[in-house]
Amino acid sequence: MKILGRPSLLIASTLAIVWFLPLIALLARSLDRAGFENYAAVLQGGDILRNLMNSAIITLITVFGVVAISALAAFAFSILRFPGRNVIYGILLTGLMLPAGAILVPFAQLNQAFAWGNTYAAVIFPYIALFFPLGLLLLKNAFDGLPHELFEAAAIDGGGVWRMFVSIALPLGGPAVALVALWTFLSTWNEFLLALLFLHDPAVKPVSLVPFQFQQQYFVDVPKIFAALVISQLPVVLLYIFTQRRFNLGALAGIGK
Amino acid sequence: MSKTSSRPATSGHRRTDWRASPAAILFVLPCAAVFAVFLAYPLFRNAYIALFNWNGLTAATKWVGLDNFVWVFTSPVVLDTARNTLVFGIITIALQLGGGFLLAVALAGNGRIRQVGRTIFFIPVVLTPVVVGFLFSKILEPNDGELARGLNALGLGALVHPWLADPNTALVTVSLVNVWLWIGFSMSVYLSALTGVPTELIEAAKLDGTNSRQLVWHVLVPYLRPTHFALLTLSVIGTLKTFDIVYVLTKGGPSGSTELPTTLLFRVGFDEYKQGRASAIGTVLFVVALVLTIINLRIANRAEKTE
Repeated sequence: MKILGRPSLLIASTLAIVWFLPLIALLARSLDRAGFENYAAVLQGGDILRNLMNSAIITLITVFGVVAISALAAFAFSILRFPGRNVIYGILLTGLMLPAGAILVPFAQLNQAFAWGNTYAAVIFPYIALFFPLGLLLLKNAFDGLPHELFEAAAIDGGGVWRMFVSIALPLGGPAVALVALWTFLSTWNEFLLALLFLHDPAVKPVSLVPFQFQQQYFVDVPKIFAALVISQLPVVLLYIFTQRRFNLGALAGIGK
Repeated sequence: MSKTSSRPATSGHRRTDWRASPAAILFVLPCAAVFAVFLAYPLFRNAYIALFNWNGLTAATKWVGLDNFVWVFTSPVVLDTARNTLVFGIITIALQLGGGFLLAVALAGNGRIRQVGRTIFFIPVVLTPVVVGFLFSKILEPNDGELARGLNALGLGALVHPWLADPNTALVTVSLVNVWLWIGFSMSVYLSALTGVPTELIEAAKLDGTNSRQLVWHVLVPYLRPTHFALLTLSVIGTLKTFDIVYVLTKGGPSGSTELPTTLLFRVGFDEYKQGRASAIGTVLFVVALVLTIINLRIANRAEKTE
């Protein structure tokens, strides 16, 4: 529903143009000097493809891990009854408040203990740990909103809790599951600090390290760096464009509950 | 956040015992295990490391008790960082929530222009902050950056300034870049919340002859109070976690003018090799985030109850 009229739309559109200018600058810089040759050169260099592949592997595994473990736990906290569940739920959610930066050293020590240096696992496990609390919160809120008669009926039919999880909670919680998957995708793809500290080998570097990596490689050939940056951003922008309707961030408004 | 709406197990039905299924343990176990190993253990380990002086490279450590925590609470560097965080937080949160709300109100509804507008504001949210930081470091260069060139072309060359290199303007500049990055997020949350506002409420207000400003201020702002608090909570946490964009734009400089908690922690721990101090910063940071969040949620819940 439209709430306000033309004048406010005019102001908002003007502002939108201002907001768009840096993106034009990004594209313009990537085409500077050699035009599309910049892209060709960067793609032929091959490194950016390796980065994309690394990011894709890290991101997909993290998304799967976060969705799986947070959906399972959200189901238990929302539908099942067991002693201490409110306390445990509250403790798990404190993970929301933990900046990755605050626990870098212990992460490094864990990586050493597990011999994960320069492997995907060095960031995947911390990512799953850092990103599951938001998934847990959103999915529990979503499951709380499901009509519980459905579960009662399933119980009368003799369906076990696992069946309820798979055939009622997950499908009906679909939009929330999609939101958690998308948001985790973005958080992982864009993460920088842990990648910077734990992934030094070019063979495992994700795209968030591209600005620094390519600064060394192309040094003064700034347009090529920008071409690499644009390539590194295409997946997330395309993901957003194609899943726009799924980005129903309204679920986050229930975060205070 | 932890207040669960405990659904009364429909009384009289002994059948509801299925809810007490022992399988619950298996459902919670993966999360609990990941939490224990990769969040709880690091947190306690961190608090423990904070009791030592340690360079993070060799095995040599020296017990110093609470010295590192005393340093956190007395060091002028930390005090400056706290002040920077407050300024950064106020600028970004005020503009993101206020601006995001107004954008949502202006862009709600159908129509090509509105839809394109919403998309443009949201695109930065999905971009990689490091990439955005790198981009803006070039755009804001006073010599040949796009902003300087644009101002020169408009005859406003006098406004060109080393925005990121001047300690007086760096913090505001970094905050504004952060607003560019995140305003679409709050806009989007508000847009979702606006779809929950009953149409009759707006129609009725319009019939009463309420003008747009009154409609926004007296009807929509109060109605969306839970959304304001949810976004406030997220933004406070987000502010305390901010790292990437600042690290790329200024690394906390010039002369500490944009130092935020996580950049300070990184510098102390990995440039100055004082892991004990860095761990103390991390521990305090977590406690601060926790306390602020609890206060936020308390106020939000009280506000909801008094309605």
